[in-house]
Amino acid sequence: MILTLLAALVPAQAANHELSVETAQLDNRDADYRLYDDREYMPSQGLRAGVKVHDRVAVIAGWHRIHRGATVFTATDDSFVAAFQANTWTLGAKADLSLAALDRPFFDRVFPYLTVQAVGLQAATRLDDDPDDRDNIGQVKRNALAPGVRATAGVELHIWRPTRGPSVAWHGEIGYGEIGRLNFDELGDIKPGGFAASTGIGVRF
Amino acid sequence: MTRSLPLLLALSGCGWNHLPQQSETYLQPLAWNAENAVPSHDGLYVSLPHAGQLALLTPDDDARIVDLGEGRVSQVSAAPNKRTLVAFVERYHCDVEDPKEARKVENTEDCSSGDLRVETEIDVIQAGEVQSEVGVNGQFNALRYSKDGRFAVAYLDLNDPDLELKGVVDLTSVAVVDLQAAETDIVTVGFAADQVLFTYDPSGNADGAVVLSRSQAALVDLVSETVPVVDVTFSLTLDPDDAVVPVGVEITPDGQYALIPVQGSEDLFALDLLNRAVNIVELAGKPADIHVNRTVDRTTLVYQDHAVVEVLEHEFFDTVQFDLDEPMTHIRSGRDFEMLFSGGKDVYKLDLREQRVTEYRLENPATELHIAPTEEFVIVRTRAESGFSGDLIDSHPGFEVLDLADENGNTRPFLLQGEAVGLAWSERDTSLHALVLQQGVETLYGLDMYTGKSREIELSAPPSAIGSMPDGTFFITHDAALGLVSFFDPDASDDNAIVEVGGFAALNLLDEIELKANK
Repeated sequence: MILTLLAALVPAQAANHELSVETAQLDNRDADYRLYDDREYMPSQGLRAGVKVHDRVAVIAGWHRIHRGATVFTATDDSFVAAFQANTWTLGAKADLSLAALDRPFFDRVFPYLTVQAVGLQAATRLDDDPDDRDNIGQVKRNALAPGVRATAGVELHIWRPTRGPSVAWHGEIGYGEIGRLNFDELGDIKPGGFAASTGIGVRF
Repeated sequence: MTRSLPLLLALSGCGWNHLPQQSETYLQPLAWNAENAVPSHDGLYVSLPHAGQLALLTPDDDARIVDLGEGRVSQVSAAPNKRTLVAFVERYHCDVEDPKEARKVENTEDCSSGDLRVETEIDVIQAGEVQSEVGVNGQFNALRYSKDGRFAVAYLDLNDPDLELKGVVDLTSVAVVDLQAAETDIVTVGFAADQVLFTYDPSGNADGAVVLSRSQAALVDLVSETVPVVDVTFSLTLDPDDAVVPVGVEITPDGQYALIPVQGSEDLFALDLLNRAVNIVELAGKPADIHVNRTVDRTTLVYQDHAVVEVLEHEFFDTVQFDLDEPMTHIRSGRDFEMLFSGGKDVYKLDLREQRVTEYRLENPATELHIAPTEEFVIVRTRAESGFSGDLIDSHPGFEVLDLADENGNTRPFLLQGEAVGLAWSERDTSLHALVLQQGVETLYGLDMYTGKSREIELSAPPSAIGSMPDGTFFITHDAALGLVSFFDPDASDDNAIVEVGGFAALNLLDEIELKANK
């Protein structure tokens, strides 16, 4: 139903298959996340792929890696390493809009779009009070899994479009991501979510 | 699947190598408190200040949180029987009037400081479980227990360096906790009460408490009425401008007299608790230390400025004086004897039955004295006397063993790498061990007192503190940010002697302290 509505918005040039590398961020304002990072968001890097299923609609899937950590100092001059490592898996739809009908230079290369995706966040927290020792007893690891949803609005710019072969395109998008609570068993939990943004470059074919 | 496994492993993380460390953060307060572990028959209780919780560790490599509910544990102490633990717990409430705003407030971080209300509770813990919770109206941070484990008196120790006064604080009251009935009552006793001793009936059950505050002493009756009441208050001065600061209190074995030395004075107050009278005993000087020996029914006093020790009897308060070579400042007590020491090289044993003084001469100045549980030996910790310019003995810290059966005053000195900053005893049916903690040294020195055999115990991390469990197992806490405790069985072979429990300071590390009720 949604795909039909989206497809009805736009005529003309079809959507593309895509493969892009991305960098992204998702807010994490949970006070407990401060153990791992002095910033209130989680940066990530990864890949996104898309398969055209309709004129202006593609199914997109992505994987991102979050790899953040800090040396945590205590009042007794001891310290430990706190690492937050996560994989984010996304699956959803992207619907774009062609501006070629405006018949203006350059506008045929610009494609505003919307995405909505389901998110699966698989995270591990590792705490280690002696990183130089591979087998010390002060190593603590817990895993967590949480679902979520992410919705964004963005723009895609075809930078280089040869007459034959794949194009090179840049995209940038902002929106909102809501993730469930990551429960690390007896260590506690963390609730990420909030402002989401990503940008990437890749091929369109 | 096999071919994709390396990729999956790479995706899921690279194990413990090369953990990311892009930033530095600071954890306040500490994840765990290595200095104040509390041994009990259930195991070792350790405070987790950041999580506000209490962990229970056992030598079978188990660590778990004691479920105290939402709040923050501020103080923990064990009753003399080592089976009952008492914890001060702060419960938090957020008084937000707007119901919509109240629904958004889940933890203390969400509540503004003006709306945050703190209630103190005393939780009684046995076998790792909370047995009762007793609300306390007031701020208290210290406890004294009666020997029978039935009562505890909570008071506000103003000398606590971690004390944070919150709101309006009543400085004239103490809380009497009946640990068996799980009841607490507030009793007004005087300004800045900071010393408590219990009195006992002939059966050995606590029946009263003497509470010292500035310029007065209050006798609290614990059993005669339905609630504890102040039976009598003794004023230690007739002039309100002349503040009298008690520096100690001892109660005679018959429970009749409370003996109270006073700061900067040669007077000893002997409060007659039965006849409600105040006697003043004139001493040889300003006492440095005092101790009542219950077995021999005598009080021993030593003086900073006088090289004598006085023994006071409790009927007429007559004194017997013994001359010493130098003034003594500390008393450590055995069943029927007292050990006296100062910061010098002389140590004395005062045999109260035979009225005899034995002098021991140390190689280096004493820093602390420990009497073995069996009272057969004494270990005196010593410091280096002369630094690099002295001989080998003078330039090293150590400890000296005194065999109390040897009346010739001989000592057996030992040298250490670092200054002895902790000592613990382990007494079992057929063995007696001492364990010495040295500053800056990652090994412990263990001594079998009966065989004289010694051993160096290698540790995996620098030690912070040592102690012993009720079953004779030693425990050692370490400088490890995520928690590390070693349990050392002195009678076990080397391979099985040490069990380490670690990583427990991570428990509840990511848990916010939630409000008890935010409706």
